[in-house]
Amino acid sequence: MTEASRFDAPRPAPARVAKGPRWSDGSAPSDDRTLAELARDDVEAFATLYRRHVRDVHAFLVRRCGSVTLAEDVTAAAFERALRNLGSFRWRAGGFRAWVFRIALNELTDHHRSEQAARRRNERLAAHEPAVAPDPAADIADLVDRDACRDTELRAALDRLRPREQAAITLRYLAGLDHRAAAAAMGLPAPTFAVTLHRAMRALRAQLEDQQ
Amino acid sequence: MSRRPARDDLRRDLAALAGTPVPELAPERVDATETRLRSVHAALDSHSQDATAPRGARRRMLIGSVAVAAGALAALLAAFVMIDRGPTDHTSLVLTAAKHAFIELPDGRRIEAEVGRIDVPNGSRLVVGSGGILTVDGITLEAGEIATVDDGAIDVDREGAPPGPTRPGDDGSAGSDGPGATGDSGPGGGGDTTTTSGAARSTKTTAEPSPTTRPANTTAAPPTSTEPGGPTVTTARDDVALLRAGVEIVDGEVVIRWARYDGADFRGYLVIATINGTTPRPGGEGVIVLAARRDRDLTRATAPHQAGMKIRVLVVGPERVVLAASRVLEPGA
Repeated sequence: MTEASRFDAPRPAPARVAKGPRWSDGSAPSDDRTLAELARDDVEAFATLYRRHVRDVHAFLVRRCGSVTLAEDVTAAAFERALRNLGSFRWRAGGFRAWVFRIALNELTDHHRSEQAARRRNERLAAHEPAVAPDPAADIADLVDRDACRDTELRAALDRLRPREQAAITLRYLAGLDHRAAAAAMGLPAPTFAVTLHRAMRALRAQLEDQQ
Repeated sequence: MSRRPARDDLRRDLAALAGTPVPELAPERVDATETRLRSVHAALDSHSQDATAPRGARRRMLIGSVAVAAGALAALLAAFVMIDRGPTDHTSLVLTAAKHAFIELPDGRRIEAEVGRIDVPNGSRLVVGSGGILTVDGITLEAGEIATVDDGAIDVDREGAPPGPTRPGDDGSAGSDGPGATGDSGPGGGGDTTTTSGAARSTKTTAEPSPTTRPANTTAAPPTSTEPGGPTVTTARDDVALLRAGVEIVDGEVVIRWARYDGADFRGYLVIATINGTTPRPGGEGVIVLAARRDRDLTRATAPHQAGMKIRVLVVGPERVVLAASRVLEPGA
């Protein structure tokens, strides 16, 4: 085979990681653990991780909060926080996936906190200001505004739990992490996580009973 | 072994929620975030290039601690400098289209605008060059337009001549698509749907520090348009300033964004819409209210998308007068 014909030969489509790190045999690393190690210095490695997990993180957040657009924003923020904190990442059960799910959940919690703070501020201001529009408008707006993230009773009940309890349930059941991975994501020993999850489920049942 | 149906039911419900189908994340959003992540990685990388590459966790932690301390000191110094200069905050922007455009930072440095998310200091200017376009937070700037970023608001100002490769913007005298225009194109009348920017018709003056569009005159007595069940606001067509706003469809939802209004007469935002083909106007037939906001910082709303939807964002002042209004927005048009 001539030199020219070798270059003319059809080649497979380059993968996203093609420009990134290579093993000595020319193959690209593909496991999360290696990529997470390399990602600190190699953007292609992080991009591969991002592409691999972004849809799962987004779906998890949509199920948790009920808003597609909010989930998009939080997903982007979560991966950015993950990138900035790669130096603190240590491989544990569940690996990068569990770690980034936990970050996503923290981002969502932060969002809700700031949203609540803004709402309280508005309420304080509203008490000193005349109404803008007649009540029907505001009522309709409240009904239409779907960013309220209160689509289901289950989500509403989850929202009323303490953050630690919310995290235990959502990581275990909505993110689909196994027991060890969820425990690692929360930074808890497995037995402690089991107790936390048990109490969280009990609290969730109580909340649902109160709703009914 | 005793069964506990309540727990089983709860687990079943959680499993059902976990299995709920969700809309696919939009590929362009995936790409935009990846672009943003790459730029962040590059910034982090360049930040750490000065340091040698130490081996071992202990040395890494030592260097990290020094870097954190140095970063904190630099941030403190920067804060003092910024306090001396004025505003200290940054604003996060999402650029969904960028061509022949750049961002001019307050210190004079220029960054080419790229699709993705970027944090810029308040006071930065967005400059669109000849043949360029820039869509930021749903607001489209066209060739020759300049916008100033201030505390989350994007204020379009074409009064200044664009520097560098851009062509000077005209003075905005042409066109009648703004809500303050004569005819039936104000918030109380029919609006157009052209993409011509109405920013030049913003009545913001250079003497005013406020970055947002505001009415040139709020003293005129406006006519009132009221309809039971609809939003009751007073139209003031001759005094209404143009409010910059944009709309996009994301996974079946309409996402509406608009520029923050900074006037002291602000009482709230009202987002109204029609789906019967008529122009949304206060108290008009078939008008529905998509959102009402009393916080001037809340400049975003969502609603389920419906065919033929026409949307308009209003700034409402005391006595329910309309202070500013957007052009008619048609999602997907």
